[in-house]
Amino acid sequence: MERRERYDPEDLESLLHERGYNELLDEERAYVLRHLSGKEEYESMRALLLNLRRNEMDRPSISGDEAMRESVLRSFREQHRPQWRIWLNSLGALLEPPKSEGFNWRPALVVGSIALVIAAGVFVIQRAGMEGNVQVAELERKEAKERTAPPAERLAEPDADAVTRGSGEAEAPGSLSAGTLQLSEIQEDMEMEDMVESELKSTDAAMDDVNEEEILTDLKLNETEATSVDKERSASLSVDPSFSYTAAPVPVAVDELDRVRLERSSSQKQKASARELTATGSVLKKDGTVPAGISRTLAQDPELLELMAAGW
Amino acid sequence: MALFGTEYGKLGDDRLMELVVRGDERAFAAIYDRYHQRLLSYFHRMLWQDREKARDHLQDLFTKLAQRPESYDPSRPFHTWLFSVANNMCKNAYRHAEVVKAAAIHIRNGEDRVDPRGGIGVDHERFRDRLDAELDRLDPDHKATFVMRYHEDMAIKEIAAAFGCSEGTVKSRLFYTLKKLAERLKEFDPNTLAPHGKA
Repeated sequence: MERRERYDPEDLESLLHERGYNELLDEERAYVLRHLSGKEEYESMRALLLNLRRNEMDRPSISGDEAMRESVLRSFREQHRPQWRIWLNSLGALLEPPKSEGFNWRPALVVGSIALVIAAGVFVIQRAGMEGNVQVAELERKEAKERTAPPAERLAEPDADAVTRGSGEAEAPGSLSAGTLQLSEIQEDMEMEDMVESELKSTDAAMDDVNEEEILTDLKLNETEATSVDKERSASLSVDPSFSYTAAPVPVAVDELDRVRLERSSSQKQKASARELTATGSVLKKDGTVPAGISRTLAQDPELLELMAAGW
Repeated sequence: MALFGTEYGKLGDDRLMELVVRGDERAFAAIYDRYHQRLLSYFHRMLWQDREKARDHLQDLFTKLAQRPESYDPSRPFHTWLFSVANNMCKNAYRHAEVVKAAAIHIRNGEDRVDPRGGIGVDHERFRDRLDAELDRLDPDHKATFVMRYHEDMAIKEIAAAFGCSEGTVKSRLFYTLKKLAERLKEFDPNTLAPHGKA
């Protein structure tokens, strides 16, 4: 069974455009007759196509005006308002703006936005730097104030500084506050020492008065045994027996407070012994020994005398 | 010259439409410049050779495109999609003005009716008027198929894509329309048609 051939208008159109019915080949005529009734129909269709072609060439063209174009573009512009996007094409528009004035604002917006961002960034950076400078200036001002403050103020408020700087720092050797503290303590100690010395002098005077007779008797007893030098030395030693060791120079490294306390305790003991002596009227006990708490003199201590005689 | 710009005239339809969807006005202008003439001519033929109607419809078409460019289906060729939109607009125009159209055909037929036997000396204008009148009497789909094929020089495949039908359907419509018009306009012998302006 022969397959039915479908109509192909492009093939038939090419035949209608190119050849008349009498000019067709046998195969082409057979193809045409399978779709058309005959020569008349073929020629009428051919005439129509030829007239259409001529008609299209002669037909006056209709064209849209510029107002319509602008109207359509305006509607597009209104529909697609910018949404804060930055397109690189805008830079091109900036370099060569198109004649449409609607494009001109977009590069201006881009440049303006960039300038605004840069200005904001500079402002923020400057502000951050200013805050740092203010803090540094305050710190410097505070340090300068501390430096120029009188020592009395600093001495008056040592604890506050110690609190602010920490306990460890306050006790640190060589620091300013520690130095001022030591100085004030030393001053106090010196004053106290002067007072103690004055008291001790008065006490010594009293003791000298009390022991004077006893010393004289001792010197007489030992006069034969001791040499003149020893006598003088024993005499000098016996003049101030309680200060035989306190008169030695105090080493610098010795703590002044301990020394003052020691002197204070010894002076108190001396005062007590002096009172006891004045009450009893004699340093020696009934059995001839020296009571405890009272320093022994050279005349009463033969061992000391022996050591001194041996050249010690 | 545009440093970072694009030469829109060299871009394809699909690329231009991508830019249009992004809001590129110059791409939209390029689309308009590329198709407005053909579409205006199409509307003019389809809408009873009414220039004002043709312009109105052209403006409506591009306004719709400006408002909803995303409605374009990128899987289809743009120009066939554009003509399908235009054809649908024409169909709507036919539907809404059916009575007016019938009256216009009646008036035109009464004015331009040519005596089939008095065809000697007819010119191109008469043929054109008769052709337009006969086209208006056709079914809208057949008329649109004929206009696309013989006025817009679109291929069968493109017409099928514009209508969303098969190529066989388009061929059948064309054959029917051509045969019918040839029968109605057979008095116009191309050999007897004088050049434009001559008797």
